[in-house]
Amino acid sequence: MGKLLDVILLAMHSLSVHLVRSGLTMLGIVFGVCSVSVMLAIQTGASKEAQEKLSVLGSNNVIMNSIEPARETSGGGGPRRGVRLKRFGIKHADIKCIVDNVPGVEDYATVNKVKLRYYCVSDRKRYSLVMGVTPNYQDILNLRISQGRFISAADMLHMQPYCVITETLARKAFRCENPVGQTIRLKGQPFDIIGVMDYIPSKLGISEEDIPIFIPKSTKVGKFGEINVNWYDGNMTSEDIQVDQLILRMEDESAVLKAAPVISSIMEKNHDRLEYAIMIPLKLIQAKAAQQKKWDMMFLVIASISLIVGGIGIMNIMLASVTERTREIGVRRALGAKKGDIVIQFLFEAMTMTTIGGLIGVIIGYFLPPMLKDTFDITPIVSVPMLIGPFLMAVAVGIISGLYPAKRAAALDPIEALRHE
Amino acid sequence: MEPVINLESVTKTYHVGVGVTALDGVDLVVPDGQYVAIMGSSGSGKSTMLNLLGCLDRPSAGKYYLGGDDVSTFSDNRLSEIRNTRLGFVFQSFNLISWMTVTQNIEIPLFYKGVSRSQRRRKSAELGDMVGLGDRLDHRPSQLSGGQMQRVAIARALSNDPMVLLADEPTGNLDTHTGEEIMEVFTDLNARGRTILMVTHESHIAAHADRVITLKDGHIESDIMDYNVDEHHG
Repeated sequence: MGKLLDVILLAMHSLSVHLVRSGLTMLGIVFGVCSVSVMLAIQTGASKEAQEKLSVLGSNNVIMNSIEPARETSGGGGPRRGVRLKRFGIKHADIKCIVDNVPGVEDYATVNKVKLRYYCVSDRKRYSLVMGVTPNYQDILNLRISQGRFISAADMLHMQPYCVITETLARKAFRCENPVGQTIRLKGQPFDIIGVMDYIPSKLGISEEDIPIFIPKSTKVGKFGEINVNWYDGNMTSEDIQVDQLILRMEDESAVLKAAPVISSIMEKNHDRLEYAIMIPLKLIQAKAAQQKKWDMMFLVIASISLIVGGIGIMNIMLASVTERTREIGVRRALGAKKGDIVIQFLFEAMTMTTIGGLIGVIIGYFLPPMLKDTFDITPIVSVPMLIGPFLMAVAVGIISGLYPAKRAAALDPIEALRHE
Repeated sequence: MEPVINLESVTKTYHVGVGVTALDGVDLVVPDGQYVAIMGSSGSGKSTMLNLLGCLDRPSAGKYYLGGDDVSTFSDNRLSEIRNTRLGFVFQSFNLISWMTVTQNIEIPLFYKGVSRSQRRRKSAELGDMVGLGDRLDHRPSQLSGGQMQRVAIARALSNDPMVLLADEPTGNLDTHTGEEIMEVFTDLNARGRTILMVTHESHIAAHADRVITLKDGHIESDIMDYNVDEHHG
């Protein structure tokens, strides 16, 4: 143990003599290890993000949205004043067709949206996105309720004037008060708040800014009708959309992938316009993961190259050092150093450089990724165990790049070495 | 009493294109405590002789007994151990390691012997004192004069209390006055019983020795006992 410490101290001392040279040589390893660490952090962040998105949208779900088809240009030129009724989107008949024909559909939820003014005591007259949903909406999308409850089948059946609001709205409209049991007015109609949802997952086509308010679908249709009337720039547009969103839950992931083409063909048969969009979270995530994998590979290659370049730098310097210190090697051999002692001495010098370089690289690699959050649209994740790999890589680079110069040093003939000028 | 060094018809042949015989059947017996100078012109074989005696090389034929062991058959590692424990080297150009301090230089043989750090510190301080450099232990070789550097080298050579001190032109890089001082150190060491083998081409340096051996073309040309070795040295 004491001997090992002696060898390490000897290596440190020797490196400290050429501080600038050792430092510059080390830099290659620092960059290499740092880039490997950052790459790992980004990769981990990306895969975690993908997992989260998948769990939010549901890997077994197929989400279909009604979209307004591109306007036919054949109609009369220019916008007309007056009433226009636009009828498009997913029909009830489509749902029946899909549920009957697509294998593996476990359950489905539907959404009907309408933009309405809401009114409550402290926050008044703003538009909210009223979502008429089926009771299983919460379960299918795995939404969390922080207070109260979600819409029940009974609420649906009795067309109850109940609503579920978001945490954001609850905070804004009711401050510290418990919103459950309070009343909110939607287009003049009172609704009792029965629950608060703690967060709205992205990619559902709604965000907190839309101020979504969830009510039973039956209540929506009963109170506000299926035709949504919007006033826009003095124009009144009416939209007749039977189903705004359809969320199908499939048995498993393979059912999801098999369902996609079947749903597409059903929809293509029933609609001659593109008035729907099919989103398959699983596919989206898979595509993203595949793309991410390509980037990861490329980055890994670049990071490895920089480590290799660092290793070559170490080897180069060590070879120069051996030549420069031939005389020293001869002296040491004359004074009793075995070949192994010389190997160990030079190997430890290389390893000390890469170990220190690796340590610095890992430290930078720990603190740098969080700063890159805005550069990549991914939140990199770093952890100490994750950095053990890059660090060990640096140590290994030291061994690999130091071994040849060290062996060469040991192989020197002591007589020749002593004569070396 | 067994001799410290016993060469039995040692031959060394180099194969550089044609074979060159550098030493040709040399016999040499050096008893303990003797101070031997080896002289000879360049090409006489004295460097080869020193390399063999210093266990840096093995003879092509013949036997070399050092302290009773036939080291001519020893492996590379065992020869390293022999050099470390039984031999002390003093070179013409001092051969101190420039980036290490006086103490660290003196410690090198102790380091390879596996002596603990605290013991090394103690021993190197002791030896530094002995050669009169007790106040310069933390100096670098570049901060020392030639004579001082050679003293450090002598201290280093003595650190493992070797059977034989091998010196290769120890005054070759020193001025006459400093050279004489270093010779005094050797004489002093010999007086305290140290066996010394010194290669030199200067006869006034060789004159300090008990016995002067002259090599020529790989043979011992002459072997003169200037002084009889006192029995108490053995």
